[in-house]
Amino acid sequence: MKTRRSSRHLWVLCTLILALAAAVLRRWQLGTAFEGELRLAISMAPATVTLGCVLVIAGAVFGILAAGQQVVDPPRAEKRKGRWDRAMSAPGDPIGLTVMVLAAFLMLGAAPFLFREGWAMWQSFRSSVEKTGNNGVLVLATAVTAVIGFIGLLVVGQAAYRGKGHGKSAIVLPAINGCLWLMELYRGHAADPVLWDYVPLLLAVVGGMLMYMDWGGLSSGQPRPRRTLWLAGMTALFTAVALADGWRWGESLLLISQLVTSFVVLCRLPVNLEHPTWAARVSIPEPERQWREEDEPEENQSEEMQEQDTQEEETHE
Amino acid sequence: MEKEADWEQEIHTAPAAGRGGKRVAKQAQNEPQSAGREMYQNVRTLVTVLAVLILLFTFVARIIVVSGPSMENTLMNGDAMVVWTLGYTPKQGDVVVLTKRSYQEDSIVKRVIATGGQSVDIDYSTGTVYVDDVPLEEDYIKEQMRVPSYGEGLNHIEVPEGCLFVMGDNRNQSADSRYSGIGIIDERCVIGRAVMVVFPFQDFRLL
Repeated sequence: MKTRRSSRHLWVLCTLILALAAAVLRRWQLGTAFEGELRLAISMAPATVTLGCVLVIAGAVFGILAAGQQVVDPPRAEKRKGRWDRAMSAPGDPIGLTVMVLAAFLMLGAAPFLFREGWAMWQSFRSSVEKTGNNGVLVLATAVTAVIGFIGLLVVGQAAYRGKGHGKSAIVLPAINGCLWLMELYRGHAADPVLWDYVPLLLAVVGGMLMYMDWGGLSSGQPRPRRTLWLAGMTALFTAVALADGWRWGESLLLISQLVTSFVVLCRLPVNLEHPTWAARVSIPEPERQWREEDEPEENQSEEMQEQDTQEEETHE
Repeated sequence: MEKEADWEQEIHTAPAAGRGGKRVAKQAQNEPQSAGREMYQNVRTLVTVLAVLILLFTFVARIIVVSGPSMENTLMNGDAMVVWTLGYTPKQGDVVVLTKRSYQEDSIVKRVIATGGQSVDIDYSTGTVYVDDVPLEEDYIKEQMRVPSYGEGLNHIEVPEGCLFVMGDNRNQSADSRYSGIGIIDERCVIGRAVMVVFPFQDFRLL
């Protein structure tokens, strides 16, 4: 009996290598591609060009991996019952639970730093005569939503550990934190003419938000598993680049939390897409079972079910 | 085990694709959406719209609010304008938004008087600006230019390549390239070109 290896290792390995390379290139870019007191970008600096190429190549690599990802599609009846929501479950897996709890507490840990930063901005704004500049309200709102995101990640981690369908939509809560964070980020950089100063961070936050939404889509009847994987890869990549920029406690803890959750997706989703829990448990009618046992090797059963389901769908249409 | 038993029950009671499948599909159409799914769709719309808007505002165009009287009467204090950033190269006569961090953190809006390689001469007695010895016809300025306190003595400058000489349309209340704190502007400091005023609505116009 042939055993097919999960593509999980490929996803994780590619992401690790590309993210590390991009982070190193970002450090090189920061050291060589900006000049003067104003830190204006040097046009076509080798570090910038190389980093740009690596990011594009990474996008293509993740695209190829996502396109080649084996996805055992649930039968129609299973889809209707929302069986895609088990795509991120890991019943009884203590490591998965621990990692999700870690991501949740990293997000919670960011809240006090963001709150302190936002409060200082607010005080400075109140005491200024002209009342111009950043008033810190969006930073404070990001701090509050980081606490909400913490709850969301905990609930999702618990639901995945128990293998239950309930509570998985809570993954949209970190995405809401991403919305506030993104607005605050744009507010802080709207007057910055050097795009390379903040675009990696901006794309990391956008990637994270979309990844969380796609993750939630698995439980809400709008599954896009391949795109979810691609987004997780890109999120990890841009997050690594953004982390290479420097260390601000609040922002960095949010980024690390996002990095951890993107690796949770990359580790868990490919396995569940290739070997879904429903495939092992769904009852097969007797004649069909005999036919399968005679003609097909065991590991291809789920693929056959997918094909049969597709045929049935075509017939109905 | 209990959980598994529940699960199995769900599977066995789920109708198979076929006639039963059609029936379930019709039922699903008639059933109202669950609150959780509806909330998810609303949040997804919000997230997608926000992400698209922020990416557009970063790479394509920005909306920036004018602060101060230096561009009157072309732009008034509080006007919101669309600033085109994608692939923009500054040209003489354009109204541009730029950042000069050594002067202030927020962006400033000025008009490009001369670009790299050109020379600028200012005759304060007649209020005329010459670029490459050609007098500019400036119907956009608010009033005749007087000698500013900070700019006394600056009446000729050669603009280096890759740099800009900018001035506000309200010459007598504008800190611009005549002021040593701002001076000649590096082209890379330019965020983009102001293309239209979008707010207040009664002032909506192309620039």
